[in-house]
Amino acid sequence: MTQNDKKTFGELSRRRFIAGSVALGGSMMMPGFINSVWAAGSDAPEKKELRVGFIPLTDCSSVVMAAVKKFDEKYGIKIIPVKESSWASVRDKLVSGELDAAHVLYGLVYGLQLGVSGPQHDMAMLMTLNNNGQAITLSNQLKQAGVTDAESLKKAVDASDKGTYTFAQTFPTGTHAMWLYYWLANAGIHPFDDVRNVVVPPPQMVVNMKIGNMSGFCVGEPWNQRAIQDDIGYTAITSQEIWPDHPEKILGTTSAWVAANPNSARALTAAVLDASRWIDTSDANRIETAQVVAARAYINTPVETIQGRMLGNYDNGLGKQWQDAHSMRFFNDGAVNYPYLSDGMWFLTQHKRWGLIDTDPDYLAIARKINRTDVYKQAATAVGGINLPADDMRTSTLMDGKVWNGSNPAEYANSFAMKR
Amino acid sequence: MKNDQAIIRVQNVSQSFQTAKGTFLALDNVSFDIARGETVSLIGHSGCGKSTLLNLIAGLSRPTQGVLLCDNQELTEPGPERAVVFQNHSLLPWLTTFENVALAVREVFKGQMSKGEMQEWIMHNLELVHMDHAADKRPGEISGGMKQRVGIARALAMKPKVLLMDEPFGALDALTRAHLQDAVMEIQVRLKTTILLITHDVDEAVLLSDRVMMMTNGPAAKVGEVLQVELERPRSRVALANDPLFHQYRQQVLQFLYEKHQAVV
Amino acid sequence: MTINSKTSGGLQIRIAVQNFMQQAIPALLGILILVAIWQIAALSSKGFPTPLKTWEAAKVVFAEPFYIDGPNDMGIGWNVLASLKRVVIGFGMAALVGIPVGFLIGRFSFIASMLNPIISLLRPVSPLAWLPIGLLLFQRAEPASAWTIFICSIWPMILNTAEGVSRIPQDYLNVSRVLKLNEFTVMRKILFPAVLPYILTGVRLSIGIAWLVIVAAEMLTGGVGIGFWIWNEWNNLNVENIIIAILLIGVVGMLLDQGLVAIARRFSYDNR
Repeated sequence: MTQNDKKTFGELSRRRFIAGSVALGGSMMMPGFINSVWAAGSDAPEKKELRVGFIPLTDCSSVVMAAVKKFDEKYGIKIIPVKESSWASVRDKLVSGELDAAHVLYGLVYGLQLGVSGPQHDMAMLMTLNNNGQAITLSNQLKQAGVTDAESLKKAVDASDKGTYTFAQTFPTGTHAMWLYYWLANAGIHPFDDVRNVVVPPPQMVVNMKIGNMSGFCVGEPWNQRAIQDDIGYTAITSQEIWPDHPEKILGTTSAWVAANPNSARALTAAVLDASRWIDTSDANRIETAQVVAARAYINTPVETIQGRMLGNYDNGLGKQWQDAHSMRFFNDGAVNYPYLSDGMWFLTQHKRWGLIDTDPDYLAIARKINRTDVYKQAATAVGGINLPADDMRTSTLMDGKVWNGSNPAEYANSFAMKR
Repeated sequence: MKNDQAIIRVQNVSQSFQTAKGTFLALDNVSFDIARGETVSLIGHSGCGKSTLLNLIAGLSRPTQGVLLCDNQELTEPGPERAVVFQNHSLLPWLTTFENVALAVREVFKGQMSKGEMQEWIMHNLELVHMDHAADKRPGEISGGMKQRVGIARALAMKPKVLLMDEPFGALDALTRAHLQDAVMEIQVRLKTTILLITHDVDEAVLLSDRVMMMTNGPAAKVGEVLQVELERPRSRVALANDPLFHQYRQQVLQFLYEKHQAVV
Repeated sequence: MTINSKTSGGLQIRIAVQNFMQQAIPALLGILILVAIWQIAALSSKGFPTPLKTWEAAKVVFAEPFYIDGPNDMGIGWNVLASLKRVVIGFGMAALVGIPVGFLIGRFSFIASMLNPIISLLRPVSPLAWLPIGLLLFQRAEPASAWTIFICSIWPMILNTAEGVSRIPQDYLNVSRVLKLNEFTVMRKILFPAVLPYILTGVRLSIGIAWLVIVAAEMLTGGVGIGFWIWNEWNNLNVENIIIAILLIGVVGMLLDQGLVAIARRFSYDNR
């Protein structure tokens, strides 16, 4: 975002914020009052102990810190972070209700709504947890063969039989799959026809790459940093280079759960939002976060593997080092967390592009159903001092220059040269 | 034989089996009686239907034709009044010898004997076969001959009307067999039990029985000859070894088996 | 050499030690050879830890086997116990259902003909295929895991029990007929004791399968358990801990099996 954009955004949201709180009543203007009033009485959370699933990736930090730094208690709930073994497991436990909510891939939840890669279930999304912080890693074997970027990869793919190279992602409808496909397609490589395309859990990705069985994968940190540290691969491109400040993980749940526990939903969102703001406040907070989530109970990896990229210190394993302007963000002054309808719709357009759904759905209606801007706004008010955007859509420019702002989704889905 | 004397009556009994190759007639119209207190042997080559006949009398199977009576009542199922001693002792290996006999005694006499009386009765029967010293041993710990003694004790403990013995000593060596035959003779003298004995040992048949029924070969086996053994009891094998009558009886049976009705190989 | 009441005290000790050495020395030799092969494999591969590195890691893991640091981080002792608990539940149900069904199959040929095709069909199915079905049926991970253990470990229970029943000598049953025992007494006094050794064999096989299955199931369902502990270590590419877990799983499985063998021996009457 440019400086100008930021200023306008801030002004607009301040106005919005004041307008919002006036609607609630003058006495509730101060954040402190809001918290204490909302925690008691008829606004009390229906369910106090909330089981929130997570997968051990760096971007689970806001959910974990919400529990560890006791942001949850501020809003009258107790978050129990539950480590899960796979996205499929998260999906099943969300649907069955064994988990109240989860740190989950944006695309997975949208897929479920349409019954793709899971049983059809009405889902809900309370907030975006993070932007950026994913990457595509290519193997050192490719590096030795002279492949160091998309162009050289395309040459290598063209020069060999179809299916020689294998690429992995984390879930068929998930975020990593979409970044991978976007990047490959942009390089002129068809992700389904030119290369092998598999869903594999992160440790298996790394091990396979180690033994020469994997050409590349797209996954969240700390796995890409891990690959470089273990001298297995290098970072070909970060996800923020594909789409700066892209939506990534969300706080997902089912529509039924929100309907049954509106106060808990709000409290949960508020707690995680508060924690997200805390993390992004300073590098010191980020460092503390890295130390907490590196523990055995959470990501279970050395701190060094997490901390660097979390602070924006990137080394791509090819000798290039830089301070990334769009490293993983959990808050970014509220710009990360708002449930932009355009964000969710983007994933739907990519699902359509790659043939994961056959016909154009009602993009806007679905996004409206899933993205609970109503809950988010109430939560933001509860936290206090959170900027709210003026619009439910936002405008983004991706790596190939294409602009996405939520309008004409069917046209956008169909506008790509490479699709299925 | 007079009605009141016969404890077992076999009347026109035929037994046929369905096999893969068609109907097999094992026994053809067999009739005989067994008197109270009598010991009758059934002897014949393998496959002459001796075991089939014993099973019918035991009630373990039903005849295709004819009728079997025990105490003038048609017998339709097995029961402890026609106790069986099997060739393979069939003691339950997880019970001691005492418990094996106790199983029978408790089943037959529950409600009729007190616990103490049962205990005494069991030990009494074990003493009868000289196995009281092994009351607490399991079948796995005693020899084949001893197991068969216990089998006999169990049968006797049921106070049966008839003791049915299906080649009881066939699996034992000659010396053990001799000891067990002596045990049977002791029982004959003391209890005067009615016994039907199946054997293919000629000496045993003559030594133990009052009557030897010789079966013809199957299929369609029948009772071929009947031999009255009129040797005085108690019988001593050593004394009988020199008795010409004993040899004459033996000769008759041997001739039947090995000259008139040789085994079909 | 055997010890009987005539052997003197000192000689007894000497003989006992001799017997022990005869067993222990070859076993130790086997283990040493295995460790040597391991060392060679570790040195010649990339990333495979040496026995020494694994030993160092093991010291850490077993230093505090029962610590609790939140629900996502518990000592390895708790994880093993959690897995064993699931095994006991799943196997318990398998025994409760499998033994009676085995009895019926062995005793009544109609039931055998009815159930045998189904058993043959379902037996070879992998536990990892049963787990999603369990999740769909029960909508919760715990019962789904118990279900997976149940459906995978029930087959030896059924088949071994049925085999035992069918192998009961006809003579025992004839004895029961002569004694006019009722069906219930026959089951209790004759069938059950006769079948017990077969049941125990079935139990041994079932427990072995159950222990195998729970590790696989836990990798998929999460929670506290040795299977998920391994998954967690894999997530950290901590190969030493994975090896430790493998050895631990092996040891626990061996102890379970040996325990059952000891029980079987107590109930055995076969002194031949």
